[in-house]
Amino acid sequence: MKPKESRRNIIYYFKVWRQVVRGGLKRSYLYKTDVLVRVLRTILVLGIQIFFLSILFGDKELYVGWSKSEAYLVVGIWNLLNYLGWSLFSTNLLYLESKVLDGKFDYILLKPLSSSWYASFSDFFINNFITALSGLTLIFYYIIAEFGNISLINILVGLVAIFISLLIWYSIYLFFASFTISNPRNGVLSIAKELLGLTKYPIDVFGDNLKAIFYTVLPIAFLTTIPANIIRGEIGYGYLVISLGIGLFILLLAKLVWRWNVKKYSSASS
Amino acid sequence: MKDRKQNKKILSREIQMYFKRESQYKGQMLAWIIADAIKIVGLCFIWLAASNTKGIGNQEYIVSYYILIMFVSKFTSDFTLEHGIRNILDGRFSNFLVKPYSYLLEYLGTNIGGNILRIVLFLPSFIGAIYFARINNLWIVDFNPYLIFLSLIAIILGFGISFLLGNIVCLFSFKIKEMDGIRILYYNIASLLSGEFVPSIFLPEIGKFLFEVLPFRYTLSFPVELIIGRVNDYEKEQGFILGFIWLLILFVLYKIIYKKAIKKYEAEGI
Repeated sequence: MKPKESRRNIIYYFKVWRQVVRGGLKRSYLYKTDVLVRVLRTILVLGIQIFFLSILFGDKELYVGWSKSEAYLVVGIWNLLNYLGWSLFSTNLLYLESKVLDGKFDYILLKPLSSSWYASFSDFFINNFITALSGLTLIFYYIIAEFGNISLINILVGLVAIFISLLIWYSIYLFFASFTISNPRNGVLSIAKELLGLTKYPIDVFGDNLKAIFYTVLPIAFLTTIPANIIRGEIGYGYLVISLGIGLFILLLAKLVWRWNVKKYSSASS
Repeated sequence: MKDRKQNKKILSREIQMYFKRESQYKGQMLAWIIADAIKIVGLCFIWLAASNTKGIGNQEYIVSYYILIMFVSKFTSDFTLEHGIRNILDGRFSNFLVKPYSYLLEYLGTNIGGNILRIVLFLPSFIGAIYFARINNLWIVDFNPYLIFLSLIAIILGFGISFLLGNIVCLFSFKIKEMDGIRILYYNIASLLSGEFVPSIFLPEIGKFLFEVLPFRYTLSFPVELIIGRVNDYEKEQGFILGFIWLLILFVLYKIIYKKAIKKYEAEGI
């Protein structure tokens, strides 16, 4: 299986994923009411977040050194990462547990594809993709509100940083989900969920000690705060390289842990 | 009388079965404790940062409120939607129909068992959060026995309302086959209107009116308001009366909808 897997190139994977997306889109044609419900949910999510931030700010201009529109930017990046994640891979990795318990994980291992890739991207959920638009709305709001104060190059570099954040987000999810293979129902994804949930607000909220941890040992600051700071023009582009390095390192680590857990996997169906 | 005794026995068995099932997964329990701790630490830091800006009043109220909301939510949570919808869609609901007692008894047992387990697991985080809030002068609750007694009644009432609401939403899956969107939208609406995201003191007049009239408040915010002790006697009475009226309405509504919905059941998975 291994030699075959290594022969598959990126284009092949992209073609497979395109078919997966088509399948997801076809399902949305079938359940139109569900799509409408998700649109309503997107508006609701956005309303709740804006309202919550207005309480957090009270009558002050700044919250831990961030203005309201900058806080919208952080929440927007978080929404984009979170709901895009649910649309692309998080839901698939969440269902991994039931696949392992039902013995269906065997079929994933038998596919002529990378098992971690297929377990992550075997389905596409258009409905969460719709909710991700709430993130784009908040990011665009920030760009429009601060148009005169931010540079175009910062916005473009910031967008690249958001893509790298998605890679980190995926790697963290994959890392935690992989333990499900050898030890299902371990609940570690709930830890990942809460950990990633902390990034909904600027990391400056957490004081110096925790902040140091979130920039180094648990680099969740690179998910929303760093891209937002790049767009704000508060930090240099060197952080982009550090982000990419961290993203690739966590991805590599997640892949190693995945393989280690696959070796320990025992099929429930056999 | 005999029926009631038997139902009690079944309910107690269901709770015991839940504990036995869950005790197989000790890793999951540990993960829940860690996840709860992360969530509550995050919440404390977010509001502590807000209090440092000194922009808004009622900071102590808000911190105490959110810590208690997390605690009370462990008592009043309903998990019916997580498995109930799947049972109907997969045809597994047929198993409940041939049993000589209502399926609600089984669901109730699972919910009570789940809630007891989560309360126990949440206690370390809860105590830690109170300690954290106290040392930062952000804790205003002095645990008055009378108010605790009242809030316990309100919690039981809230759990009943939450359980019936969950079961009513579940019944829609007899007719609608794609329930994911509706389920998540329901969670969002319930969270917003129960006071989980935004305390009622921040709502505008019209919002406050809706908040008090709809049943969601009585599943979470009302017991918390009682524990904090900033509710006058008239508001207490009004809250209990409205809560009981909603419990009754929802029970009747459940009965009517179930009678109609069951006729549409097709046991598709079988």
